Amino acid sequence: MALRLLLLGFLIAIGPVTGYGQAAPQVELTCDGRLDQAAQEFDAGHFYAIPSILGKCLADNEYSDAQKVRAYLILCQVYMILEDPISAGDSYLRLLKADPEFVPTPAEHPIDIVYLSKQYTATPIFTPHIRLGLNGSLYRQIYSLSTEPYASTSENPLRIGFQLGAGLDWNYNDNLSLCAEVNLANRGFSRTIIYSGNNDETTIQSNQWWLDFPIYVKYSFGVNEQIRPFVYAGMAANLLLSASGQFTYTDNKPNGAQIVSEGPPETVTNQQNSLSHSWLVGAGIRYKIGRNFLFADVRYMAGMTNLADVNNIYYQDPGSVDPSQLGDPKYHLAENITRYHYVSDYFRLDNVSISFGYVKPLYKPRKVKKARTRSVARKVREETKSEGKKK
Amino acid sequence: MRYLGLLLISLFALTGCDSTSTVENPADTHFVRFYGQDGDQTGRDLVVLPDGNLVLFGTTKPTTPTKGVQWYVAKVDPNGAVIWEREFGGVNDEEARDIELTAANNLVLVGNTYKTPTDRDLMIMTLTLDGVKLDSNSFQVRDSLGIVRVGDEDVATVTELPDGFLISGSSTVVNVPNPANTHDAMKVRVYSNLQEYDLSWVQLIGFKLADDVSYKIIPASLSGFGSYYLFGFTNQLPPSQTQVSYNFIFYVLGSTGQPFSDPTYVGATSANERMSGFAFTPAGYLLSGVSTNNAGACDLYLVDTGIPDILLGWPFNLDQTLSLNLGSNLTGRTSVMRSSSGDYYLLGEERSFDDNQNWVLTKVKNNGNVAWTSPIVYGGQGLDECGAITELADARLMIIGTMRTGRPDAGEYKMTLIKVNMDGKFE
Repeated sequence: MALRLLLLGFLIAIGPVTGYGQAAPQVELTCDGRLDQAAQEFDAGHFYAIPSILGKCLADNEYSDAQKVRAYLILCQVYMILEDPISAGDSYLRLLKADPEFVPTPAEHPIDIVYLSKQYTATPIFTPHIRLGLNGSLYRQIYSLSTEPYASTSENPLRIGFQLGAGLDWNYNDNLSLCAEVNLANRGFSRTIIYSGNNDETTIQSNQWWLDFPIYVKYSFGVNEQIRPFVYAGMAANLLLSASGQFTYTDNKPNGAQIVSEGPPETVTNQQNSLSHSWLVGAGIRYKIGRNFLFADVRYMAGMTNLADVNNIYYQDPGSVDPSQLGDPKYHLAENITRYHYVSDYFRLDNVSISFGYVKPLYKPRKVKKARTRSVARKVREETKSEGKKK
Repeated sequence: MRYLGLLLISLFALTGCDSTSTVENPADTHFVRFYGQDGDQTGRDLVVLPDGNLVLFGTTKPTTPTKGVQWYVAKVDPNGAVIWEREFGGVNDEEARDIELTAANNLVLVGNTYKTPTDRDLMIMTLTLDGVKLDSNSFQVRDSLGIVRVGDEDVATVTELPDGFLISGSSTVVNVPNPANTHDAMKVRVYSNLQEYDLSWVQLIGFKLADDVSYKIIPASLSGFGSYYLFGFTNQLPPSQTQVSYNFIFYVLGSTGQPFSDPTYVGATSANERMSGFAFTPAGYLLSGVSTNNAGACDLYLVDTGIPDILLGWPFNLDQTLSLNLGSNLTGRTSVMRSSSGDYYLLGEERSFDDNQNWVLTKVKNNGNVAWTSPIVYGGQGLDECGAITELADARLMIIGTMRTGRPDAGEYKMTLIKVNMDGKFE
């Protein structure tokens, strides 16, 4: 490799004056001009001078990414013609650094380049992203519990929360990734319970803070250069940070009068399990902006764990019990029981979220261990066959 | 990558979804339930039926009453669901005190009915297990001369006898009128049809210058006839004490209700012990109450009488004030029971913090040591009054009482039933 770089440097150094009989340029060309000149020289079959024509501008980083792609593409072809595959590969790697998303096709590029491209990839190994969005939780009752011995009806209007987080995709190949995230989510639910025995009513606005740790397998594919849909499925571990409830109990009197009991939000973290897990599925679209992406993602996360702490749903948060009170603070009847006639059901929470985010792929141009050239041959054969039919 | 996929699938398979098929219904094992519809309902006593259902006894007072406070009786299943609920009573306010299951599988209920704010009569009723009234009666007590007198009767408990029932309590009708003789112990006997026993049975007993209350009267013999044990309390000065205070007192009554023996006193000289709980044990009787010291501080008081010996009297296996520091100004209600494991559960009230009264439950080993480091407190804001405690066949505990619910300053009082495990916890 070092030897070939030395050779390239030597060619660049002596190129302008010893160009196999080509005349040295009389006027100092711009880098744009040199690129055009290199293309002309290539078309004219003057291959040996091309590295020296492009060398200085590339070394001085005078080209835009698009120009670099054009230059290195010429150099790749030159080196392949000159039977210098190592330098060709090196040029292709540099091309991928300039445009990691560059993918030659048999229709648009020489077949040698297409074959060469199969030996290299710029697919990022890791792709970090950040996300932000809204969510709504679906209340899934396992057992209905109540302080009332009479039948009741309940409504669970949707309560909107939000989430933000970050994640990292470990890309197995261009399509498959293993992804992990850490998300801070504000979730909750609303419930209105009407007791048939006395027509009294309890409402709760539950407010919960969660740390979610989803891990999932993602399949991505490209519709075109800019739009990349993806689907995924996996699991999530969920850690409850805090939970509180804003309760209201309305005692509806037969004469129409109401006695409403309400107060500040009650901490009910102790009444819920702090660890739970979920399965999740989702789909979304990435939209390319430069080398990076914006994305939109819709996710359904189905809670699998009973969120009610079966041994604590009747107890007040110990932190809010005055220690000078008689009895163990862990076993004081919760305020939501006596004041609001509310005891937590055994329940799960499903969550639907939509997130928007930003993806910054960490491209890493590299040679692949095993080139996948069969598909190229197949494509070429198919194209040849279809052209033959046309004729 | 394929291994990671397998790992994910395995994790998914291993961690199942919680559902009714994987999680037990908690209502089978523990709950808090508030009974009664509009208005205030109190809970005073309960009885477990042979089929595992329970009948709860208390009172109800709607927001806009058309009658007085009524007796409120509800039959519930072991999960607390209401099977039926009924109200009984007249135009006057009623008070609920005790409910028992009779040998004929009926229910007997006793309490008071107000004629005036200072004149209560005792009230007794029998019901079928479906809540159908069989008989009822209310009446005033007779004095020692057999004359019906106007006074304030306050029923405590009822005991079934082979031919009827024995009602204990107290009355302001006293055998020897005197300003210091505020109450005599009441022991009213009725036939199974709830008609009063004839004049041969003396309905009152008490000291001439003391406040006497009978809490429970039971047959002393297996036949149910002949003699009776009366358990109560009095502020009569015991022979061994020099300072007047309330003590527990036991009599043996003869077949006419007259004392058959000298009374036995139990209690500390420096405190007032008032009885409010009774339970049978295999070897004697459990008595509970509240002990109030001279500063007004209250605590639970527990006596295990043991089996009385004809010559030596009551052995008193246990005679102990528990140092729970319950506060002051308590109603004095307690309930006691011996569990299937042999330990004693003692239910009472506490008012130790912020003038807020709650139920309190503690467990005492049969050697007198408190089994729990801290008592269990049940209640919310406001005045919560305990009723009774009983043990179910699965060793879980059922506790009835009254809790103030809803808005602390204007919420309703509700008959409250709690089912907990043998540690008093919702688990």
